[in-house]
Amino acid sequence: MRDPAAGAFASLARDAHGLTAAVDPAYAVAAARGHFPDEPLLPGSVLVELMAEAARGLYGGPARVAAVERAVFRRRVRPSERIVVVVRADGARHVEAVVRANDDEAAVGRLRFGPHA
Amino acid sequence: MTFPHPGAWLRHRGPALVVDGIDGWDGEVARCHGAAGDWTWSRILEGSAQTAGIACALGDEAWRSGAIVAEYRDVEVLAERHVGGVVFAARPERAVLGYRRCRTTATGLDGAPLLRGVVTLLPDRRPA
Repeated sequence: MRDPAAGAFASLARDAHGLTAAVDPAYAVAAARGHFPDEPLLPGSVLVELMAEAARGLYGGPARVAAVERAVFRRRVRPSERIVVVVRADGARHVEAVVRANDDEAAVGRLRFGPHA
Repeated sequence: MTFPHPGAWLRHRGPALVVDGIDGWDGEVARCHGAAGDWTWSRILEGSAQTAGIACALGDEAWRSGAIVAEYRDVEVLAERHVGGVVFAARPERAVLGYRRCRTTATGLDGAPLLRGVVTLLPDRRPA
């Protein structure tokens, strides 16, 4: 099965601090389907998957998510918004992530990665 | 005890609703299941959150209009992918300032652990 967030990003930009990934609007609309019919929102689990997928871009290849140490959702994210994921490495195994929606800090997270089984 | 379809208490519909049925509630732990399929870890995480919402609704009618996830914490991803059915369990714990923290687990039908962690929910109060 294809990674669900593969192809989620319209662009990736690296700098000295990390990586910034802009979410493809078509991906966001598809990811919000059924969540919810009267108020489309990106599920928290999708935002976490986007953090992980952006982190894989930072690592430059496959990386297994071992843990979501913390993911805090500060506001609802609509698929119609401009959604950007910013990640930076914190050591060899951890990534700090921020999801911005129309420049608001919508979610933050800390993920731990492990070796592939 | 008979249980409603999960959609009775969750706003999720179509592909967003990953929990297929409520299997049990003993006053402390809710058990649900997801249908056989190809599960990614993030979809298992989503099922855990939906089961937590159902657990809150089973224990308190005030939670039966849906809930939103405020936080995931200490989530251990024990399987990146799983093929088959999934069994979810959720135990509501602390209630603080309207938030409800729930401890969740997900296993395969053979009991193999897939994911465990803590999800904190807030009753869904939709913006005007």
